Amino acid sequence: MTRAAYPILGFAELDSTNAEAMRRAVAGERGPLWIVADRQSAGRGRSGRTWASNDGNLFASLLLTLERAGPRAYQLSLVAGVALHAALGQQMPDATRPALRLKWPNDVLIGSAKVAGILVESSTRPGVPGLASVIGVGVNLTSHPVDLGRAATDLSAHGVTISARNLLDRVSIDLARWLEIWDEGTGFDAVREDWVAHGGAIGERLCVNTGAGGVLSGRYHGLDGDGALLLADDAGNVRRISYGDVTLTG
Amino acid sequence: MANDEAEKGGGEQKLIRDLAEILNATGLSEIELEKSGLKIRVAKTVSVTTVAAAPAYAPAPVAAPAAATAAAPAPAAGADVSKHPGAVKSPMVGTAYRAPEPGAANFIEIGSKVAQGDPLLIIEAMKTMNQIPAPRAGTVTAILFENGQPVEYGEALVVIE
Repeated sequence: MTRAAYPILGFAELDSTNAEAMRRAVAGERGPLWIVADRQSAGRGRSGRTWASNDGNLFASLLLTLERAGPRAYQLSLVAGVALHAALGQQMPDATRPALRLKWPNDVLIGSAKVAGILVESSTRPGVPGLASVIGVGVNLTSHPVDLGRAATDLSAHGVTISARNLLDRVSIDLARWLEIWDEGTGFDAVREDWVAHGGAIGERLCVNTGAGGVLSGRYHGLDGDGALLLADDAGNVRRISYGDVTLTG
Repeated sequence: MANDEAEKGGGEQKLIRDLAEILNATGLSEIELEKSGLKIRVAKTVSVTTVAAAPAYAPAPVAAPAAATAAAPAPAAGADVSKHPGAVKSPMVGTAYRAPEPGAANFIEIGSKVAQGDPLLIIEAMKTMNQIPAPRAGTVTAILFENGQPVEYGEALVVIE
């Protein structure tokens, strides 16, 4: 299924596509609009981490305005994850496609190595209805960082060659499709189901770093109705996790 | 010295300590108690039960201000500043941060002058980072959350006068 993709605004270089999208949102742009850059000088991840922004990889951010989602806006995080997983799955050869998976809430891995990441940011705007939201997408196409201390990979290492722009078209189609299914929250069950289908095996060992020195370990126990991660400890107690960095340890 | 008041204050402190102990003993993340005009809420962030081996990657910079891991009473007692007409309320459930990233300067302090649209805080929900801007210009007179604290929908976060 194809549909009209969202308009795309391309730049040779930006500090960060998320930052540019948010600047435009604050200036009144409602989207949907993609901001894409060949290079980023200050690519970002969660908690102010940098996102290595090598030439040839995809850096793009979709700006959109949520009208009805209200307190369910956080679900965008999982919507973006399932959409990106779908888009990358289209590119993978049959033999390696099963290794493509999600890690909570929205990292895309091949095996246990990260190939793509998402950073969702949003802001209310005084006097303007709706919530300005920015979905930042980074995909390692031709190279990946090697000095992170955690596994990373890129699509070319798995025999996939696609240009950043062509992949963006694919991501745009899948994201539009999943945004429509999600319907600002009313269709979240379908999003959650698709996530769980690609989120790894129940019982998988995980560590969650909740910041401020807190590390929880346990076994993956699925997602609750809101999309929060459920982590079971060895005594069988299940804890609900709504933030933190997840590491696969099994 | 007003003995009565000192005693009352001591009683409240004990109550808060007792609640904090219950919190820790039960593994709950939050207890709210309302009693004869006094409202006390003790809450903690996801508690740390095990200090497992350090994760295999570099964690975020450690300079983060001490998060409210210990039970911290929310300032909800008394005149209830949260009902102040200048209160900015949380549009969602999540974890509130005072700075754009660990180690960075806080967006605001008490006494900060803000313009409409200036960022006040960030609420993280499922790795969605939501910036909460000032709905109007003014001076920050109260900050009602600790860095890293879970916040509820509709909870007052900041007062701007």
